[in-house]
Amino acid sequence: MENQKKTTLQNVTKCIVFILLLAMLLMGVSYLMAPKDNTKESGITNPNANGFYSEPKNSIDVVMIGNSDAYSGFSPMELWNACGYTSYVSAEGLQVPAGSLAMLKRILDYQKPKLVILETDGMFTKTDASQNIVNAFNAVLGEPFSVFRYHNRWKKLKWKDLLRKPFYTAHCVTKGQMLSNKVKGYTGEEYMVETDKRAKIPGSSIIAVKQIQKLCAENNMELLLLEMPSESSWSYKRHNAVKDFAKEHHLPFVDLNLDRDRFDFDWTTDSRDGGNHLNSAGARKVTRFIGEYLKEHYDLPDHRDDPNFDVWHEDFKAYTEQVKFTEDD
Amino acid sequence: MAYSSIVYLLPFLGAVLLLYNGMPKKYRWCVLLLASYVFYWLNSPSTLVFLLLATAAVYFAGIFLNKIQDGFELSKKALDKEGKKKLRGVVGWQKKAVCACTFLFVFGLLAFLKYYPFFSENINHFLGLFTEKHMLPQLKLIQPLGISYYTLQAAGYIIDVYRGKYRADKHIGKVALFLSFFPQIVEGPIARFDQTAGQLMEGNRTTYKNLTWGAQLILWGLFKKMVVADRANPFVAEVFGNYTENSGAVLLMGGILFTVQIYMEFSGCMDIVIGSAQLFGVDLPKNFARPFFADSVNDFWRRWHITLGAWLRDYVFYSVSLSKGFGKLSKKAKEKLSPFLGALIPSAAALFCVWFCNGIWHGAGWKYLAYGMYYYLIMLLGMLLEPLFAKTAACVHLNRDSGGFHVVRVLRTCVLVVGGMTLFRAESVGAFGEIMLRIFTDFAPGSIVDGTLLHLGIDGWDFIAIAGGCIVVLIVSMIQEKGYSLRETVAGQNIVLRWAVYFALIFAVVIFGAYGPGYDQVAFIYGQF
Repeated sequence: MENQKKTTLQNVTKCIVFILLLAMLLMGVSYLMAPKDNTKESGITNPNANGFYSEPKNSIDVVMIGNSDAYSGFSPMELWNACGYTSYVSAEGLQVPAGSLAMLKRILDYQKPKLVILETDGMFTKTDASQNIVNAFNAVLGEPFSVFRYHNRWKKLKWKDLLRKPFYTAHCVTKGQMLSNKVKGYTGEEYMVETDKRAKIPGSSIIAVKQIQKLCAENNMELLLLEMPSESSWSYKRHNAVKDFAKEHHLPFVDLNLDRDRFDFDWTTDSRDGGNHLNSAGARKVTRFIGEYLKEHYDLPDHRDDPNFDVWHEDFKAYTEQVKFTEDD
Repeated sequence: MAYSSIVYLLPFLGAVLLLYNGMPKKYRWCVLLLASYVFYWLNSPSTLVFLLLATAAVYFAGIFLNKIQDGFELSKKALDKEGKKKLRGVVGWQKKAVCACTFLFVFGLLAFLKYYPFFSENINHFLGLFTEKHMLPQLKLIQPLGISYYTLQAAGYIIDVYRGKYRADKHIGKVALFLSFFPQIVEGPIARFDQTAGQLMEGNRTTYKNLTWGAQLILWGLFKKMVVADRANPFVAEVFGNYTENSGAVLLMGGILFTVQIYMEFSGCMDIVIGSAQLFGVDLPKNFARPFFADSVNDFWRRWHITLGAWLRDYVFYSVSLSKGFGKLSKKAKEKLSPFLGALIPSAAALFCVWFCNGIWHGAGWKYLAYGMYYYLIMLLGMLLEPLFAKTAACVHLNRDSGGFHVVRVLRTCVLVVGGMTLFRAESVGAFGEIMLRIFTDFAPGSIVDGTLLHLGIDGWDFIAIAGGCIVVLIVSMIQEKGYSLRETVAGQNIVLRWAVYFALIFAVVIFGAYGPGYDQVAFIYGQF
């Protein structure tokens, strides 16, 4: 009996040591495999969203996180031009709140924003159970095992990449925005028809947004929930659900699908794909309105006359050139 | 919830393992049964009812067969020899009627849900030659998960009870668990009641050895599936998807890589399945025994999908070849033709039934029937020409038992198997014909070395990873073929070496596995049958 207990204890210890050792090795290999730059060539996923690494440390005051609605509809350079606020949109296609949380944690390693804007469309994205587990794990632990994301870099890995310290060189003049001058308008019926019905927010999204709120509170950052105009993915039922959530958790919520005349929005000219995402013209209108809202509700510094931020003026020029030369389709 | 998904491997398997070991021994089978139904419901909620219906049908049919047999045993004591014979005849017919009704139900479900669209389409096509009105409606039917596997297990159970191999079990939970055990419900192995049902009910605690050995087997399965099979998948999909645009050499490469893919994937899945069952102290029958070391097609099928081959042998081949009608046929053939043909004709006919069933079991389509007939013809030709081969070898003093000749036979078998797999993967029999035509008339060997292969879904590094994975599997298989147990050998080493091997395998899967951004999860091919 005594022997059996001893053997069981030994076996349990062996299992625990094995798991701990595996975790340590995974973290080590994750460091080796992680891209040490944020250029496309370095193998980093979503280089635009990760461009904040190349901005001077703690220079960004506003970050927007979310899915493609965010990087299509928010223009940090227009916000700079209108208000002088420094902002970055670290949005990714199909980013769910757990992914937004992981992104925010990475942002906080380099930047100290005063305001975080969460685009809420991703709260309703359904992911499969496997992805939910990975997201939840990364959301809680901040993706300690990035090898699962970057494992395929073994194909392009060079010896010098393995141990060198990260050095981020990609400079994104759109600050994460995806430019498109394509016009494919929406001409259908009004989609924001008032109702008392509520859409269901998946439990995994609620947990992740609460975590984002907690993280913001811990770092003295304000959190704003915002919904970009989107005919194909948004509805009044979703609006009600997020409004209830925001009220319950004492968060401000701005839904840009309502009263779109406030910012002269026109679905026939401001969408690039028939009502799902905005084009550059739509993003300009929406961002100016967001700027007005931020001026009214937050105390953010205007850096336009600050010589430390001269590079933003240069970036704005480059941005306007890019807008001009971005193809229509 | 694929067997290679994180959801299955961590939360699901972990929770079941904890619940199982936390439960008193006599209730552990309940955890397995509940887990099996939850697994089924999570994967295919709308078709769980068919599994429950098949379970009920088989259970009650078995009990009914018991009652008929018990009645016979009781009554025969009071009867003379003639009366016993008469009663045995009546009882035999009653038992046959019960089996027939059960088969009609379980195979009827299978036939309707799996084959109706195929038959209705073909019948309507035929009728369309004469009339514009379609006789059979086109129905969109959902194929229940694992129906091809649990139906065979159910039928095998009833036949065994009918044949008196064992008595039907009175415990409905035991029958239900035997048919639904979650590791094997999607892809088999197709087990017999006396192989697994007892073990499933034993409820033995998970031992350290079962835990570690089960985990190792799961890891080995993941290596085969993720490093080799899933990495080869984009190439195979691209080559077979655009077969009209590829040269014969590229198509041949596609056939070879598909053969590698399906072996790595199916045998890898079996490793995960058998490893999962091992965690609960259940030894499932093996389904693979290094098939590419086979020296004939017959030998290949004794090593590939072993449990399907054994099922068809025991319940189709023997049932047909040992039936009275075939006995008479054999006797007549021996008298009127020759002893060789007397032995060959019943075997050939029974073999036809086996390969017809094998083909149609794999799917409802002409190409699957053709796949069965492909192997049937090869085996039939082998049987017919065997005397000629033997004579020729004797004439030229060829030692058919020599090592060199064995290698030639193995290579020949591999070529025939690649041909069969190409037919299996081609989108139709016509497409297979076109592929073969291109291989023989438009081979263009230059396309193998001019970089064409690197623009077909995967790059050079992928080819290196696939080749590396194949070499590892080949070395392990060669050691196993020699009769050594690599797992025993590794387990006998000191902890540093042992853990180094395990970590190497884990990191091979983590780094070289095809998953994550840029890869869609690849469904197990045999899970679709």
